[in-house]
Amino acid sequence: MTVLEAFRLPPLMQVGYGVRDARATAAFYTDTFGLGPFDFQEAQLDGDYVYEGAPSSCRLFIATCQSADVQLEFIEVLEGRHPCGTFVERFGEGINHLAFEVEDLDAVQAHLQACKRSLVARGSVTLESQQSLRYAWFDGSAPGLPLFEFVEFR
Amino acid sequence: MSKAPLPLVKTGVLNHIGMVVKDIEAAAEFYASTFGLGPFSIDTYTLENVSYRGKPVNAKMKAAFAFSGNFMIELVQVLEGETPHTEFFNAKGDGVQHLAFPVDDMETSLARLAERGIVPIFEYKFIANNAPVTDPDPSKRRAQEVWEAYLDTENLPGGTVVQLMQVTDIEEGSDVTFVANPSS
Repeated sequence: MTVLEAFRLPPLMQVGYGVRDARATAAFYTDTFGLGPFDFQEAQLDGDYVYEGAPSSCRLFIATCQSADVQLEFIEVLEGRHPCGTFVERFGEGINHLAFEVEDLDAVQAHLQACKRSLVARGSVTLESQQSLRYAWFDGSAPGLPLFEFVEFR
Repeated sequence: MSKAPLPLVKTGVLNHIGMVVKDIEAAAEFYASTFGLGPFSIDTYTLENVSYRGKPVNAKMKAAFAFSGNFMIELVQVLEGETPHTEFFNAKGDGVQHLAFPVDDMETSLARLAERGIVPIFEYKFIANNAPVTDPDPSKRRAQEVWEAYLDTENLPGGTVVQLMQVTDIEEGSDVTFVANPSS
């Protein structure tokens, strides 16, 4: 694994919320502010999913839409443990992560661990859209500040 | 075939998110050193006689701006006064307090939102000259009047304050100046 000497974030890919009802949140943003259309899908995270250092599993309902280059994502945790569920329990609904697409997730992970950032969650998943990806979530500088999610598409 | 109903407000492309932080210099340094995000431009802004929950208030805050692609990330630290940022900070601590969309017609947008019971909790205009409002390229910045309204959407689905911003080009000015309380 290579530790990056000078890591620079790629352009933001996604602003992510933890919510209690992803469909209701999407409807609110569509009806009120004209966002959308939204895509909806369920995701099951298990297998290599690790949350706060331990193997875990969860089931999510996810709503996404594009606003030019940036995607809005609303994550509702249906079952199990996930950073969005933990955020909602602690702070209520809101924006809890920013996501960036990277080419080499292992290198980013090594860089951030060298920077003493905590790995909150990681794993891989194939979505209903058949898109396969690896992901790693790192903590922000303070408890309520957004987590940083890095995604490597395969 | 039935058409989807029109939205209450037609917004433009998502412009930025605003994070409330306890220590803006430390936060900017963290994002720069850890993620290479920035550089942040940090300035102090004095807001006089701006509308906060229907009352005129004064406040002083530091705001820092950096771009990720065309998307702006704003950090806010309130130094003096009560604003929605201090409400958020007192309730939750550091965190993402708002996300912002441009609108072409603020007056009509606010009137339509009011019909649904959504009203601004914080509202002001300012003149931005060479300020990072919409463009990551400093050479393209120009004098603009910016009207910003923070909506009381924190208790609606998504749990986040939505900020609307109307940006209008104006003749060249000399500084970033808060000029009016739209509600007064």
